[in-house]
This record gives sequence, structure tokens and C-alpha cells, in this order.
Amino acid sequence: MSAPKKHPKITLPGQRKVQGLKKAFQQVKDDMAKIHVASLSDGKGRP
Amino acid sequence: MTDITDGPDVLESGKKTGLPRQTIADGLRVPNVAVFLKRTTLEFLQIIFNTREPGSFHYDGEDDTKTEIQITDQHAVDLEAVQVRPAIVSVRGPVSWRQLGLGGGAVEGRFTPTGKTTFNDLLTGSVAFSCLSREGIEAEQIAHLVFNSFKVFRPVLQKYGFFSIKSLNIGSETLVVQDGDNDDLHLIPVFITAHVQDRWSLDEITAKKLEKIIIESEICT
Repeated sequence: MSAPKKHPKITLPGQRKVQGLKKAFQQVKDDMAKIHVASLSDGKGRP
Repeated sequence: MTDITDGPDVLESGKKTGLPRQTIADGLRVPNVAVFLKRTTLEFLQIIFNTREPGSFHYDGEDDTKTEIQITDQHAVDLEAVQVRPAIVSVRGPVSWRQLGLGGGAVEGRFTPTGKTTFNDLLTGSVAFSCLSREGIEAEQIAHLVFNSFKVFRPVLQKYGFFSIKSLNIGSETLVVQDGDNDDLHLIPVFITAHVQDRWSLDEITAKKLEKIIIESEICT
């Protein structure tokens, strides 16, 4: 008797997909760097 | 130059000034802004989740087998344990100095007899919390709790050295596919950017040495 077939891994619309936790953490770091730079100024010249 | 890390400081004039930069649980003073950011925010989340009822993401810091959620740093996490129970994993981002406020030239106090001048400044730092679960909706719920905790308890965090929480963001969901494993993980990041006060003092050592030379020359003549 053959092993049951695995369900294919699906990605929902708008959902990102990465291979492994290390890559996922790296992606979080990259996103954070962008947000950090964007939040440095509120466009009104004040902290 | 002296880094002032153990505020609030008492100036020679007797005036108390400065924000303490310390851990929440034991009040340890943290000299490094990057370490302070990560450690204090992690500790804050551990305390918040510890107060939650069992069955509702209760955190137990003393017994890893009883805790319902792991709250840890990226370098301390057991990646296999993340498969078993939900987790919040912190990753520190950049810390920037960019002449906020008076641009590092803000004189907090000056003691005229010695010339010791205390300055203060603001640094901007970011931390991200990756909320991980095998169920997407559970990861969403954890991210919501993390986001709200920082939003609601912002004034409390300011007592421990955060000048202000500048921004809070919940990122989009990422599906983490593991090799040879059917248990995929869902990751939702919560990004926090905060201003932290930095203080230091400068002493006029040259003036002191000069004073000594003058005194010595007076003795000789």
C-alpha cells in the first residue's frame, strides 16, 4: 500500500512565502530597516 | 567623557535630572542603548504575557515545559520548539543618531567650579517581534496583543527609559516553509521604533591640570 499523497503547499493571495526560519528573520530585518528610515522624520522637521 | 547610564542623575547643584535606563524586572541599569532596547522590550512582553490566564498564551519564564508561548531573542530561540508552541522572537534593527531636538548640544547642566558639563540627546532605535504560530489566525492574534501592549502601556515604558514610542507597525503575513516538515509556520512581524535618551558629561581635565601647575609654581616661589 502506497503512502497517502501530501497536500500541495499553497500560498494565499497577498501572502509571502519563504523557505526556512533564517530567511524569514532576514526578511523581517530588511523590512524593519525600511520602516526605521521612513519613521526617522514625520515630514514636519520634528522628532 | 563619561557616559551617564545610571540616571536619574543628581547634578552638583542638587537638581535631579535624566531618565533612568533600566530593566523592568530587577531595575538593572543598561549602558548600551541597543541592548536596552531589546532587553527591556522583551522583558516587558514576558511580564505582560505572564499575567495572562492559562490557556490564553500564558508565559511561564521559570518552566519551559509549562509555558504556552516562547518569548525570546533571535539568538536564544530553539528553532525546533517554535514548531511545538507559538513564539515571539525579537530581532533588533538599526539605532540612529540624527541630531534630534537640539542635536546633541543640549546642555542639561553645568557645574561652574569644575567645568563639568552634562549633555543630553535622543537616539532612535528599532526592534521587531516576529509572532510565529502553526495557525495563521493565532499568529495574527499574538501580533495584535504585542501591538496593543506597546500602544496601551506606552506611558509605563517611559518610566524605564523610553523617551517615546515613535511608531508601531504590524507587517504582512509570511508563510515559512520548512524543509521535510509538514508543519509550516505563519510569521507576522510587529515593528517598534522608539526614541531613547542618551546622556554624557564632559570634564575640563586640562583646566584641572593647569590649576595644579599654578599651585605648584606658587609653592616653589
